[in-house]
Amino acid sequence: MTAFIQYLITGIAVGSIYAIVALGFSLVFKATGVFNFAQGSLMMLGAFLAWTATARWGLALVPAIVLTLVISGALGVAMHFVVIRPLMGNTLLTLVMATIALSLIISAMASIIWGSEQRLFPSPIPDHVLIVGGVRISTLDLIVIGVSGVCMLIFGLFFRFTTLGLQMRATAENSEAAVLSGVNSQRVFVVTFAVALMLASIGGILLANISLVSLSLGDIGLLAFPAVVVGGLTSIPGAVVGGILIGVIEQLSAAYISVESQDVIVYVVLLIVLLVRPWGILGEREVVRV
Amino acid sequence: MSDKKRLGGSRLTTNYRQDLRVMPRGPWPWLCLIVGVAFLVYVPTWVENSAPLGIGSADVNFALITIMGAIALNLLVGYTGLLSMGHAAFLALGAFGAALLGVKAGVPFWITVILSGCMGALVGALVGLPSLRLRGLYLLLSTLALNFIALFLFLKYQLHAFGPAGINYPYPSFLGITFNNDTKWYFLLIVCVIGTMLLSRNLLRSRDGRAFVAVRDSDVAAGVTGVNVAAIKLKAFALSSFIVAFAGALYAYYVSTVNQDSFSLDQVIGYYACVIVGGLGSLSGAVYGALLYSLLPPILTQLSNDVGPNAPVIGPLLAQHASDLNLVIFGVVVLLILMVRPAGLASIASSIGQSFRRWPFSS
Repeated sequence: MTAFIQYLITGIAVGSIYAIVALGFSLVFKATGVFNFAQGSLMMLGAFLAWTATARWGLALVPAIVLTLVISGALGVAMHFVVIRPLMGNTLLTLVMATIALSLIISAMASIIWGSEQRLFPSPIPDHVLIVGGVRISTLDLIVIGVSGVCMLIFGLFFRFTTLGLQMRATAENSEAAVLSGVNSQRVFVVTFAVALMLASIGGILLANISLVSLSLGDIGLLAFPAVVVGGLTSIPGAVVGGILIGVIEQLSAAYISVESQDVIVYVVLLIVLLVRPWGILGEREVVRV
Repeated sequence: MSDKKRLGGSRLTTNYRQDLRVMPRGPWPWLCLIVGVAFLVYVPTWVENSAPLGIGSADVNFALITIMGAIALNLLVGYTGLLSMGHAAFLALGAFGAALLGVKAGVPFWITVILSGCMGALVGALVGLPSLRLRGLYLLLSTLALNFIALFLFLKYQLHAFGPAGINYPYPSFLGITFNNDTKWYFLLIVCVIGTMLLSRNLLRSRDGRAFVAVRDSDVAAGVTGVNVAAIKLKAFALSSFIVAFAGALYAYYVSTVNQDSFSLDQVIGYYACVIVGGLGSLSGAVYGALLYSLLPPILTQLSNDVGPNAPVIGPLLAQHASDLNLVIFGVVVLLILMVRPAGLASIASSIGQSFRRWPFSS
């Protein structure tokens, strides 16, 4: 039982990182209808940027994170103007392919710039082990959970209480109605992409603390898709629930089935959810009018 | 027997040859065919002797295999409008079939390859089942999940039956010829590619082919006009998977060692890139895209040898990161095609052809 709780906590820690990445993903999908395949490689990019800022340029953690967020926000704006906006309104395949191409470009550029070796992120977070009632809990996990929780809270408050957040929610809900009520939807899209890329970077930075920084982080970022779908593609809280669930499933299957099967189990869950309840746990059932 | 039949006083055409007689085409098609065949026969000697642009015989053969994959994906995505991310799994399935039948059971090569294709078709129809319930993005994700699951199972089989080093395939022999060098393989593969193209072209002109396009444009409308949408979707999946599994079995024999790293999501993405760059819903487009996709890396390598590692900026970049640079270039090409010419290279080729044909009057 204690072992189970330990795996559960690690799962929640990993899952909350997925949740953050998935949150950015789901935000973009809801507001713009773009299925951003590049979210995984953007997460990897965030981790590398933070690593460069701290390990190479010797910045302290806080300025490094701020710098990473600023760069990724700027990249989001650039991505919107250069790639997404000219293709807006095209078919699903076109947009998926555009983001796949972006993801290829980003990973290849990262490989050119940073090479294929694994880097150790100089994590300032102490990695102690607390023992609470026989359960060994890593402080790292707790801090990751705490930081992601705070991030989600900040974004939740931002959506709820700021004008921009309201406009974003309105655009996500019904973009035409939002435009008719005077929302500048182009500006909302720009902000959405900036925020989504910042979320990807935050996920990347957090992940860098618990694993090595390497190109394979992009593949881990792919797990944001199952997270979003399990939670519900059309639901923003669903992304959080789905992310945590996927993290927990992954850790539990690594512990109780086998390590190499952990990702496969996640995809099996994804497949079952897609076949049984395609709209996810919290999503709304899509009704299509012919 | 006369071709002409008098019906109701007017002459009706009753077969394709009579239809063609309306448009006399002269000797051009035959001439093109002869020149084309001569060129294709000449390619291996040309490539082997002079390696144009650094393209070697192996690159050409890989390109031919990629063409088959790209055509298969185009049938599914470009013609039927079903998004599938599962094609790496079908390549792996073909390799698995070849291992099971050809290596373990000793079935002759050509039967092995065809049976692997059939296995692909069967599994493809099963994988296509979600497509009856799911559409668009959801289908894409479910096939993505299936892709990972299938590759995992392939890995398990490989480890269980052959060990971590991978599966070794013998040189196949067919009609008394042992395929042990690139030139022999070239002729085998080119026959397969042309066969695939003819099969697809003729199929697309048939009732089923038109139904594919109808389902892509609107599956509800297709259903209303009497197309059995479910059957057509499953057929498209089965056909596409047949071709890919067939190509996968050939690939396995060609590279002769296959392990868990041989098949990945990157290949699926590569096929998508071929299809997009070449032109969605165009068979010739799939060929252009696949050629560009598979011949760009050797061209870049050659370029890096030509400029040398000491050239400013581009020299060291090419020397150390040719494969990454290739991906960057291809990603940019895909984006440019999507933005500037969504119908792909095929449309560029056809508009060049048009402007020649209408020469004095073309703009």
